[in-house]
Amino acid sequence: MTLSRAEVDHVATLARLGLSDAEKDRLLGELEAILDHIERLQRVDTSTLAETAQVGDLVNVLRADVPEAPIGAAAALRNAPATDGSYFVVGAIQGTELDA
Amino acid sequence: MTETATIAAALDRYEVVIGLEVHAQLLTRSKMFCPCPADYTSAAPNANTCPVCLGLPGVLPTINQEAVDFTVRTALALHCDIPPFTKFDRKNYFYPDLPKGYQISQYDLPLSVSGHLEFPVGGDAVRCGITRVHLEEDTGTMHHAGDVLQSATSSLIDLNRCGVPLMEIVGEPDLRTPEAAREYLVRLRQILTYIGVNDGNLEKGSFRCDANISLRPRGAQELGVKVEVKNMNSFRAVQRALESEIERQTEVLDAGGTLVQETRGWVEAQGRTISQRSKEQAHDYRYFPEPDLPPLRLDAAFVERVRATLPELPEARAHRFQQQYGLTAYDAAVLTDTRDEADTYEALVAARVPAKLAANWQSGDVAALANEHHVPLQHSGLGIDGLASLLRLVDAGTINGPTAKELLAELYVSGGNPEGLVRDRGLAQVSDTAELSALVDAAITANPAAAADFRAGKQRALGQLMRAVKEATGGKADMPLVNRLLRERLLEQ
Repeated sequence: MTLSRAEVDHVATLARLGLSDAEKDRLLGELEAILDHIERLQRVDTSTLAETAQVGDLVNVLRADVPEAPIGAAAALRNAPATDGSYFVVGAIQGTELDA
Repeated sequence: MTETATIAAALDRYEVVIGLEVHAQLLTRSKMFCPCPADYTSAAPNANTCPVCLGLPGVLPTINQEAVDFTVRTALALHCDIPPFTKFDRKNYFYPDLPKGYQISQYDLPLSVSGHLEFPVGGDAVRCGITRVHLEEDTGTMHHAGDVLQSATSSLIDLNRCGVPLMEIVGEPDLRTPEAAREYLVRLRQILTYIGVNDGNLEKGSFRCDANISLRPRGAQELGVKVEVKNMNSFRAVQRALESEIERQTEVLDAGGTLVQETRGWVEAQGRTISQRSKEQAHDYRYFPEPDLPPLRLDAAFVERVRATLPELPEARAHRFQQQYGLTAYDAAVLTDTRDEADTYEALVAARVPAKLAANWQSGDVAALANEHHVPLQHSGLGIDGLASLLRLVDAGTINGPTAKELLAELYVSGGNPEGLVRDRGLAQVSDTAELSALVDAAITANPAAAADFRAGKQRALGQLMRAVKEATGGKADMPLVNRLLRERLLEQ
């Protein structure tokens, strides 16, 4: 399985990871190893098995629409790197990192 | 050319293809996958949050039963099929209003498929297919410094809305004009509010619409390049944004250019759409099944139980109002516009107010007062029962129209018992023929010129004589009877 450098760039962009060239080279190799492993798994004959996204047999696990006390803003913000009043603060949304 | 003429000219040459996606927040009490209160407007920022909707590690979501019921109820109202098996998926993208890094949504096995919505546009029946109705979660809200995303150096995040149940209704590209798109939304919102799943507020964003629009030369089979339009927060904005897109796309195509598939935002103040290039380029959501939520099996018995909760829908109710109460199509449509309106009307009729009388007063004076005071009848001082007793007095001839009108305006605000007030203030209509005949004679004697004019054929002269009798009774005369008595007396002399 060969992964292209462009694909690594694309995945890094989607994950909003700013990587150096050296890091991208290293991750290219690591991701290829993972994909090779998946390729081995795909060789297993599963033609007699039903497709499934779940390993358990659970279905219809639902909750009644009854509100419970939330944890509140103070607790929610306790580990936030930056806050303003009871808001979280994040850096610029749009700009170079998304256009990359 | 005017804008309308420009659009009409464009529609001659190009076929416009429009498909709408609506996101509607469900009126549940708690959030979609956690029991935090779903009310995100009245609490302080981030007050209504918990580890699940904050996207903290090690938590498990659980599905809100009511949200599933509401979505199925909507799907049934839109004639959708409910497949027996459905599941949730993760839609992966990074944005600060969704701290998990993915939205729990539905990808290949949604709660419902293959419905339709029918509605009239300019006298023609339009039928728009509904591709699917599925369930997902809303994101948090962001406030940018200076309110301009592009130049903001930081943003404030409030996650109270994050995880509120959100229903997505995907329409087929069956709409051909901006007007039809607008009517589709009006009708869809009416149905959602009727069945009690959504409050239909475009301005506050509990009912949101995105539009896909493309143009192709008339007769062409292949679809044109599709543009997605966002940021429309009123029905009028949807229609204007689509009209503006038709103009823009027509200009590009007429000049021999090619359109770019892109997302554009409607800018109300400028009356045009602008490209939102950068954010949307990297759409690659890498959907996969949500491993933390077991799938749902919805059997026929469940679907029938939900179907039984569906109220009579507006179109059917308007039709019945025409049949049962002898109303015109127009009156029936006005009185079934909202479920409250229709329920009020039927409560009046049930309280022995004649159907036509109830229709006239409810859609006339009562609607005007509700508008003036921003208070619907049921929350006014008068209330539905009060209006019913007032209208019964009108029907019985106890009070005349002008008196009823004055009482209505007064009681709407202050409340009170109409029958008691009529008795205490002596407002009862004077309809005794002998008493009125004497007053008619007196009026003719006191206004000889008007009497002569009427006898000479001047119909308008009667007004002065009618006013004289009305004043003599303190406004309480049965005016149709006065009119008849005056005419009889004037013509016999």
